[in-house]
Formats: sequence, C-alpha cells, structure tokens
Amino acid sequence: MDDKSLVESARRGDRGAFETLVKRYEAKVYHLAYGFVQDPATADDLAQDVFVKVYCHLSKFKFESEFGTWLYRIAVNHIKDHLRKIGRRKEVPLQELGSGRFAAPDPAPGREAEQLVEERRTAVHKALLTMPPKYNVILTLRDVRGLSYEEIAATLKISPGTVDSRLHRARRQLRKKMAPYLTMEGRGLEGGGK
Amino acid sequence: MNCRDAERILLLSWDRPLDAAGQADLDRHLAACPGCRARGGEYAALRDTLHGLPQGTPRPYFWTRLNARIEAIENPAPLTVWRKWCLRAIPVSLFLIGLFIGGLIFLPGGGDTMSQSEALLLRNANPIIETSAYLDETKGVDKNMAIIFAASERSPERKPRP
Repeated sequence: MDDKSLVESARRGDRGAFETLVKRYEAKVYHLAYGFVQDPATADDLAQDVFVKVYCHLSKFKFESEFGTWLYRIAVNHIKDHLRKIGRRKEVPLQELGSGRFAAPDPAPGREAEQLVEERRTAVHKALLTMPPKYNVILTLRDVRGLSYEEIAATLKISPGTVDSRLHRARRQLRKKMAPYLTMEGRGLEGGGK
Repeated sequence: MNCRDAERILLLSWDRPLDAAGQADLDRHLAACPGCRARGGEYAALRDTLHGLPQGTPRPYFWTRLNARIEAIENPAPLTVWRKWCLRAIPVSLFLIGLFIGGLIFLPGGGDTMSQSEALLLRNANPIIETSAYLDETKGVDKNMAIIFAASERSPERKPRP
C-alpha cells in the first residue's frame, strides 16, 4: 500500500494505517533527530513528538508533496525548535570542542584510534551545535544524512540554488570553527576530495 | 581560477560531478597552490567526520509507546480534562478578582454624604422654610448676623480666619 492510501485511511480513523506509516518512517525520523542531538533518549522523544504532531495534523496534509517530504519538514522544524529551546546555540569555548587531537595525521591503531575518532566526532558535533540553525540543519541533512539537493530543497522549501550557497557558507563556517584543530599534515586532497 | 573559486568548485564537486574542463582547471590550481590543497584536506577531514557521525539505533516498542500517547490525546482521562479546565480558570478568576478590587479602590464613592437640603427633601420637608426665616428678618443687621451664624453652624469644618 502506498503512502497516499495509508494517509487517507489514517485520516478516516484507521489506526492500523497510521501504524504502517509510522513503522515505515520511524527509523528515518529517529536517525534524523539523532543526527542533530547525538543522544538516544532525546532523539527518541523528538521522534515521538514528531509523529504525534503528524497524527494531529494529518488532515492538513494536502498531497502537494510526498508524505515523506512533509514528514521530514515537520521533523526538521520540530528539531530546530527543540535546539532553540534548549539554547544549545550558545558559544562553546574552543577548548571544549576537543582535546586538540583532531589534527593527528594518522590515528594510532586499536583502542586509541577509536578514542581519537570519537573525540573528532564529539568536537565536530559540538561545533555544529554552535552554528546558526540554518547552517546546522543543512550540514546535517547533506553531510550527515546524505540527502540530495532536491530532497533538501523540498524539505526546507528553498530552491536548489539556495541549498548550494547555504551549504557552501555552512561548510566554510564549520571549517573556521574547527580551524584550531585542523592541519594540513597527512591530509591532502587524496584524503577525500573526489 | 583564483583560490576563492577553487574552494567553491572543490566543495561543489563533492555534491555534483564537474565537467572535464572544470575538473582539469581545479586539478591544475590545486597542483600549483599548496594553500588550497591544505584547505581541501581540511574540508575532506571534516566531511569524513560528519559522514561518520553515529546514526543511533531506534529504541524498541516505538509504536506501542506512540500509540499510548495518541490514545491519551484522543481519550483524555476525565480528571485530566477537569484539571485542564481548572488551570485555565485560575488566570480568568484572578483577573476578575483584580478587576473587582480595582473597581472598589479606584471608582469614585457613591455620594454617601447628604447636604442639608437633600436631607430635608428626603424627610418631605421644605428646605426653603428654614432659610426664609432668616431672610424675613426686618432689620438688616439681624438678618446678616442670622445668616452668618447659620452658615457657621452648617459647615463646622470652616473656621473663621484670625
């Protein structure tokens, strides 16, 4: 059964149809939320809130876009509101971004390497949280979740051109924030520039 | 191609493949510019880290928990409804009480003092009769004195000036 039929059934009060929709999208919404908050409990709460909102506003869905896109839009807006509420945009001191080991050219093997990678991730995630929501959102959708330009444009209701320019500015700002932890050593373009 | 263009095209190349000429231009610039090469490496490191951020694993019984929440929204317990109305009634009641108290304090009094003429009229007495007794005095001096004494009797708060 496609999304449209399920939405129509759910609107008529068919809880089973809504259950199918939830099961179809719960992982996506959870992963989206997790990408922003990096905390399982908060991501789960946010995903639940999103589906409650969707259930309450199902009658407002006009089939102008895919159900998944509409759901994603609600999720992104809800997560943005959450980030604003908890005030996580406050500036994080550079010392808190990481231990300065981000730039280590070659991670040591084994446990230490894992620890190093984890430190890098924490530092980048903290830097993301200090960025304006529109940059945080676009970087998370593109570079963490891997959405296409078209999907991002549809979710955020902006043009692909705006996605392009905003993504460029977001990446530049992230690099600027992480500048103290980045070095050129051992990281040529062959490390990722395709 | 300057460094600014190279940076932009490099980042763009991660999202969309460049045409052969564009790619060749970029490669040429990067080969000649160590700064841009380094910058490209930094961007790549950041991108790899972002790609590697954990996705998390959804918690079990997602639907069961969600369904319970939806049930609670659709069929709220009577106590919950009552409590909701009570919570709404509190500010309204406080506003009305404030309005009442404000009215008592700030509205002018309802004229609880009555003039002598009003009091006489209330008793169905003629307020002119009492006055006419003073005015009927034949002697001017007596008449004036009677009026002065009468005035001082009626307004005890007025004191003669020294």
